[in-house]
Order: sequence, then structure tokens, then C-alpha cells
Amino acid sequence: MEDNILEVKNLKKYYPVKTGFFQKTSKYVKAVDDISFIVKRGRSLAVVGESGSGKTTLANTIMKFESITSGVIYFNGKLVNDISKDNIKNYRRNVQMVFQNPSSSLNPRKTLAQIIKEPLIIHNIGDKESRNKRVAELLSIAELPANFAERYPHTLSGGQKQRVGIARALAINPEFILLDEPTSGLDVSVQAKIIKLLENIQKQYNLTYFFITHDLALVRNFAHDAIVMNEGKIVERGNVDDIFKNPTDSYTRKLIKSVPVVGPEEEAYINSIII
Amino acid sequence: MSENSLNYTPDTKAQRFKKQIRKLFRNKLTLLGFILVFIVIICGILAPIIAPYPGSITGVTNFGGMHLPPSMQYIFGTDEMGRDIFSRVLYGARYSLSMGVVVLTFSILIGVPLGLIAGYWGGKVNAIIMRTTDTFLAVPSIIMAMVVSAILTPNLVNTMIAVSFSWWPWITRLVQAETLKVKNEQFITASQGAGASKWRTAFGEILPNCTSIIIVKATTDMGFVILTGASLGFLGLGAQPPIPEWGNMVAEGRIYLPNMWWESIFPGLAILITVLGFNLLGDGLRDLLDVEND
Amino acid sequence: MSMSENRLLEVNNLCISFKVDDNLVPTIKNVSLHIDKGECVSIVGESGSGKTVTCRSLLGLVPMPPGVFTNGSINYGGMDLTKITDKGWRKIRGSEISMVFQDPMIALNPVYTIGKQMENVYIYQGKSSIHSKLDKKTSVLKKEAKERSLHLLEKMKLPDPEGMLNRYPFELSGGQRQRIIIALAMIHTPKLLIADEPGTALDVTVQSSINEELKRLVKEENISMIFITHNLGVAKDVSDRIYVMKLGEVVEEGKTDEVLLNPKNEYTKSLLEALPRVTGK
Repeated sequence: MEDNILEVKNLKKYYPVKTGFFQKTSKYVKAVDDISFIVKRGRSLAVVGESGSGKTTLANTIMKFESITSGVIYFNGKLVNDISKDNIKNYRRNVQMVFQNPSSSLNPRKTLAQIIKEPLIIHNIGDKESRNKRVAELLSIAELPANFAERYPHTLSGGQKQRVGIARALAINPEFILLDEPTSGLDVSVQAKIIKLLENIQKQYNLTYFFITHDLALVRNFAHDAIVMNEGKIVERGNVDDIFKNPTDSYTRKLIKSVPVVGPEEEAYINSIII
Repeated sequence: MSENSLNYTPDTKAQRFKKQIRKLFRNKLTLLGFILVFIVIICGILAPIIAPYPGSITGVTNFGGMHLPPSMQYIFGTDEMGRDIFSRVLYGARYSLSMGVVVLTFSILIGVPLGLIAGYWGGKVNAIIMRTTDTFLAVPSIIMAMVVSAILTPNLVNTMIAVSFSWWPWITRLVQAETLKVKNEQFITASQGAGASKWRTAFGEILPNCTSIIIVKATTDMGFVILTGASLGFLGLGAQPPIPEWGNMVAEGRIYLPNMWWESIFPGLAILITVLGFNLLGDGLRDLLDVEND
Repeated sequence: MSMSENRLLEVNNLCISFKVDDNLVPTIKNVSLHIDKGECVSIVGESGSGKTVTCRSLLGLVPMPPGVFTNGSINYGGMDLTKITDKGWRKIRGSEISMVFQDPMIALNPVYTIGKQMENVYIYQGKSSIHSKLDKKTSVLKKEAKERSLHLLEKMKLPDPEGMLNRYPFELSGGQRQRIIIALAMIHTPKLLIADEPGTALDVTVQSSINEELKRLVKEENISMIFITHNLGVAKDVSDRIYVMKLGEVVEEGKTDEVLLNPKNEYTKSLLEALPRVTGK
């Protein structure tokens, strides 16, 4: 098995800006500007950045919601830049996503069972009975009661909805899960529980996480490795502890400095970071 | 809501339905609408049983009892052929209601898929479908119906076809607009991320989110379709006499106004009550379903 | 009902319930808080804690019905705000108590320039309609409004204040919009500024600079501020005193540093424990 589950080389995503009567391309918005990185199997990589950094575009290209302008993406050693419709479906068996806003990522007209079952139906896995069993299994993994299967999303709290999102992502046993700000918008106490759940699942199923966030405390406590993005480029990368102990890039320092902290040890740490 | 809402047991489908009905009828006007519609439907269904003079439906002429004013014997009076207007009005409900049902069913079957496909696929497909829709919309429904009726012989079925031609574009527009709104929601992206095909996403994910808007439109439109049908009947298109269609009854009785007012007024009132009822009910449904979506 | 010289606002045993489907649901339960002149107080809580409803009631922004005051009072300037009419509110909103809203993307009217929006607030604040009688000639008022607007834009450290007056909200960044909203709230120099999770929709670096601005404003203008947030770190940074709310009640209060270092209430303790530390586990 490949140790590097995802390898990205010289990835670029440029959006043309068309102006004038003839819609000529005058310049480009360089959302992702020549980045390269590796994600190792079974580990969590955090992508940190603010708005405009390109982290969302990067996620969209990895999920194949958008095409790339140039560069290569290898998944499990295979080139996955431009794959045909059939191969995209195969790709999606291995690469799943947990979305940011739990309220809008669940179809309000479907029951939880229908939502969680959907990936199984799309990929023709199992039959009616085995799917229902799988739904019950997934609900229990996500620490939700079994009788929630027939509920509708609007009866759940934010944290519970996010658990459903996680259950759905796990349904077809992916190897790689992309999480887009999985805990933003959730209460602090709920965040901690969701993170714990994600950690447990990772260990149990040897999952690789690729998660996007702006929450540095989350990165420190949850991720193994991180890349910091600014204006389409990677400005800092490496093991999380190394980055926090010795942030080399000025933008990274700026980010760390702007985290509002509570305890005295944290304050001392923030003060030790010099811009 | 904290995680403690584990203790909250959601309503069963039956309980939810009951709650919705109660909410719906809290508005007295909506309740009135429902009652009116209910009466009209019952009249239509039970017409053969409750009509006092079933013979009045066909051309049985009763020269002795022509143009009689409303009385205990003939509740709505009689017309130029001595036929009981009350019985004819009751039977007329069947033609108007079936016109509404047929036209709307046809419009939904054609309009909904077209709207979904146009909205979700976008681009050239959207352009082709919506421009076709625009073309049909450019012709007023009565004119369209008159043209179609002129080509085919005027009768009830052909009038239904004619009105359907001018009704489906409205549904298409509505569904296309709603699709545009819904397709940018994250749960649609989630569905794509799980590997769903475009067809599956359009009909499996977006369509269920359009149902409430379609239901409201269909209910309110029932009234307008019936009105259009009656207007065509009035103009001599549609069901031909002696069939007791409300529109042509009003037309027949028109020459005897204002002396023998009952011959036009009662079928006219029937049209009014039906259209009003569906409108009130549709409005109430819209208020209910809008709130639900919040 | 008389308060001490230094006290600006006092909320005593406030109880608000909401009518839901024929039931009266108590939402704010016996909440008491106070704020003195020049103080900055934060109200911290998770979703459903009641912090937003409590603060909106200070500006009469809670729809009544379905809301209803079942007990308690809000004392400000010799009045009980739970009992004043619309006319009374017009005198207070914007000029005595002002609010800075959460999401700068939607809090500004997209079809008016910044200058026009600030001018509107300056001229028409407190008036019942745009056709009411004005104290001075419109042209004079417009001049005054422009001066005041420029002064505030400079104070908020916005670049090119003159040019800013002619721009539309969509031309600005999130941080700039948030500063404009603060400027709008400050036009009539209110005594109390309520900031409802300002900048939570913005980037972390922008948020921290916005919070710095607010702190500076409070000091320089000697106004009081109530800062609503779910982030304990922000509360520590910004406020002198803190109120911790849970499910409609105040569960702990005190000096911010003390409460966050030595919480006495179980809930406060659990909040602090659940907070991920940037120093690692």
C-alpha cells in the first residue's frame, strides 16, 4: 500500500477575469498558485488559511468539484487529474467529504436513514436489508440512537446534524475524508465531542483526514501535519508541533498571534511569538 | 437545542399531519375555502344521487314548466327548456372539476420535468426549454384555446387539451426558478460528492424540495383553470349544450337577463364559489408551507 | 428605581417568555445584570443561552408578540425599558443605546452608498418617518452629516474616508464593512454600545483588529459596551466583567480574569475544559 495516499504537484487553479465587450481574458485570479504537498495515509493534515487563501478552491479540486488549470494529483499512486465520468464515481468511493454547515448539507426532505443510505444506493452496494443494517451500524458509530433513523434533519441539534454528516461520509468505507471546517458554528462543548468522535473513527478505520480550518487551537489539538496557505501559496508546512513551536513565516506568526486565549500558559506562548 | 434533545421524541407522521391541519385551519378564511371546495366536490360526486330532476341533464324538454322562478319545487328555477337548473348546476360541477384535474395533471407531468431539467442542467438546455416556454406564454390562454378549439371540434376533451397547452409553461417557470434556488444548497453538493448522477440529483434531491410550491400552485390554479374553462364554455367552445357546463349555462341564460335572472346567476355563482374556494385554500396552504420551510 | 450616579443600565430579574403554538415558553429566566459608565461587559454563552434575546430586549428588538415580559425591569435613564412605547424607543435607539450587528455582509443596505447610509442615520435617527419635520434645513444637516461621517471613518482607521463615502458595500472587504457598521452605530455618540458577536463571520486576524478598535473606542469616547460572544478568549481580551449564561439564566458573573481563572460554576468549568488550547493537550 502506498504510504502517500495523496500527492499534489505544482497544482494551479486560475480563474480568468473576462472584461470588455468581447469578453477577453484580461487577467487571472490565481486562487491556487503552484502548490505541492503530500498527505500520508492514516494521518490528519490541516489546511489553514483565511478567506482568499485558496484553501476552499484546493478542497474543491481535490474533491473534483472543479477542474484544475495545471499540475498533477496522484491518489493511491494513480493519476487522477482529469478522469472520465465512470472513474470519478470510483474516485468518490474512496474520497468522501464532511461539509461545513450541517444545516444546509442535509436534504431537509429526507429522513436520516435516506440521507445515510444514499451513497450505498448510488454505488450499488448491498440490498435493502443490508443497507438498513449498515445505516444502524453507522448511526451507532456516530453515537446517535438507532431510532433516529426515521427523523428529519430539522429535529436535530447542530452537533447531531454534523454526526449525520460524518455517518454519511463513512457509509461506503472511504479511505480519505475531506472535512471542511467541520466544527465551525458548533458550540464549544459540542466541538470537543465531535473531534473526539473523529479521532476514534480515524484510529478504528485507519482513515486519512484532510481538513480545512481557520481555528488554530483545533489544528494544534487534532492535526498531525499542517500547511498554511496565503494568497494561493503554501507559506509554511510540516509537523504541527514543529510549526507551533517555531513558526518561520511571518504570516503564520500573525495568525498565531491573533488567537484569543484564556489561560496564562497560552498567553505566555502567544507573547513569545514575535512578528 | 443542546445535545440534550435526545429526550425529545418527534411526532409520528400522524401527529405531524394533525398539527399541520390544525395550523392550516386556524385561519378562518382558509377553513372557508376548504368548506367551499369540499361542497363543490361532494356536489359533483353525488350529483346523480342528489339531483332532484336527473332528467334535466339531457335534453328532456318540459314545455309546461319553462322559465319558472326559484321555488320549493325547483330550487334554482327552470330554464328555457323547462329543465331544473339546480340539478344541472350540480352536474356541472363534474365537468368543471374534471377540467381542472386533467389540465393540472397534464401541466404538472410536462412542466415539472422540463423545469427541473432546465434549471439544473442550465446552459443551452435551459435556453431551449425556457425560450419554448416563453413562446407558449406569449399567447394568451383564451386565444390559444380558441385556436385549438377551432382546429378541433369544440367539446370538453378538446377544450381540456387547449387549456393544458397554455398552462404547462407556468409550472415550468415556477419549477425552474425553484431549482435554481435549491441547486446551490450544500446538500446538493453533498449528493454529488457521494457520486450521484445528474438525473439522480435532479429528481431525487431537488424535486422533493419543490413539492410544496407545486402543491400550492396547483391548488390556487384549480380555480383559474375552471374559470378559463367556464369562459371558453361561455364563448361556445368547450362542452356543447345540452351538456350542463356552467359556462355555457351562463351564456344560454344571458339573453333572458334581467327578468329571468336565475338562469345565469346560479351557474355564475357556482363558478364564483368554486374559484373563491380554491383560491382561499391555496393561499392558506402557501402560508402554512412557507412557515414550515423556515 | 433610582440607580447610583455611575450606573448606566440595570436589568433586574428580567423574565421573557415566547408564545409557541398556544404555549408560553419561558426563555429568559430571572436575568439580572448591570453596567456602569465606561465599563465593558461581556455576555458569554452557547447557542440557546439567551444572550442575544437579552440584549435585543435592551433595544426593544424582540418581537412582542410572540415575546412577552412576564416579570422584571430594565432601568435606564430613569425609565423602565420594558414599559416604553415605540415613541420612547425612537429616542433611545441609535442615540442612547446602539447596536453593532454580527454579519457585516447583510447588515448594510446594498443599494445605497456608505455616505448616503451614514447621512440617513444622522438626519433621520429618531424621526418617525422621512417626512417628519427637521430641526434645521436639509442642506445644513447634510453638511453636518458629512463632517460627522468623515470624522468617524477616520476614527475607525478606514483608508481614504472621502472616497469611502461614495462607495457601495459590495466594493468593500468584510473588515471594512464591519468598521462601517461600528461607525454607523457611533453617529449619535450613544452612551451604550451593544456588540453582537461582531466579526464572527470574518477572518481571525480581521476579528482581532476589530476587537482592538472596539476596545479603543470605549476608552477614547468613554462609552460603555456590552459584548456578546461565545468565545471565552475574546471575552477575556475585551471585557472587564463577564456574565456566563446558560439556557436563559445567568449562571456566573464577576471580573473576567477571576471568573476565567477560577470558575465557580460547573457549567463555566465545563466550558473552559472543552476549550482547545493553542498550546496543545
